Amino acid sequence: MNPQSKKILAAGLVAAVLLALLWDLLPLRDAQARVAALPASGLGFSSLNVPLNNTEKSIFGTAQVLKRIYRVGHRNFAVVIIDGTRNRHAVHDPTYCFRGAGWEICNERELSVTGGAAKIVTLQKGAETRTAAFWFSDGQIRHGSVARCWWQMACRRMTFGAASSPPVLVLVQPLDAGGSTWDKLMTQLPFLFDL
Amino acid sequence: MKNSRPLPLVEIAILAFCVWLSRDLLNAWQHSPHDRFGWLALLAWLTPFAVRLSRRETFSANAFFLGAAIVVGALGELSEFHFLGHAALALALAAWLPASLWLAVWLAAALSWMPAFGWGMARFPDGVILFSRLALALAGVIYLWVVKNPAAKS
Repeated sequence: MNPQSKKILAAGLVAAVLLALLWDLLPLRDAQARVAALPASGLGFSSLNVPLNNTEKSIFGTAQVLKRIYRVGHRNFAVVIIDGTRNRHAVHDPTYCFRGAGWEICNERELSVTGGAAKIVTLQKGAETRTAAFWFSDGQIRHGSVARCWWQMACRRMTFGAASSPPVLVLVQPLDAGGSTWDKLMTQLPFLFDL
Repeated sequence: MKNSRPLPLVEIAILAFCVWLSRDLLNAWQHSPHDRFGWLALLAWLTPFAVRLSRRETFSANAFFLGAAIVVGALGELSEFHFLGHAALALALAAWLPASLWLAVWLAAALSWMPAFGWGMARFPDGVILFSRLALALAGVIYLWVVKNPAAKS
């Protein structure tokens, strides 16, 4: 490599490192105001915040994660909300984790919600069957595509937050076996679907 | 014997920058079931690089690949797409090998150690994913090092 090329590469490297450091120093508005506004209790429901375990802490890193169990009637629902503003990589495809945990996804469908659609998955492990719902929301648009969410977050990062509001991943899982009437849940915990 | 050749500091600094951009790989290999043992694929894929290093030949890195590594890595950092950081690392490593068309095949096989591979194959059992990773990494190595570059064997 000639000295001229070395100089150009060295300048490029310094520029890239500075740019990367500067980018990290510029904070983006997060979704904590929206997440904090979620009611912990109300007419017909109550909830309990669940701390993250060490593995979850390691995986989510600096991302802000709310893990809460809502009790509606006799049923319990685990709700996980991940705001990846401080760690984009914590926002992931939940089906990836389900498969990693040994569940087989035997059905996927969409549930129409305000501003788009959530994804409902039916999971099976041996004789056990569960369902879960998840969606990505920026407060206005809701969808079940992780690739679209990553793209939203990249655009947001590149435009210093001007492209959209911070998207969050909302994951809802009934803790007990049995079918879930998601339409009914939408009326019981409507604030989740408006997040 | 004393070696008076100066260390290629700029090239090493670019490689170090790309390693830093790919620091999430450790977390993925530790915690993601689909990426577990991905480091084995990286080790297999690195064989031509290690062999070249062990020969202590006079070699220098390719400026084009290093430049591409900086650009791709910076884009990955700005957009927070880790895949681009991993691609930058692959480019920065490829820069140390003699440039050829066959190198592109080896470079494409770098996908084998990336979490993107596990994400793309998430529908398959973990064992199948690991086997496919190793097969792809070894295919890239065999293609570059044995099939298309017989001189490398000697």
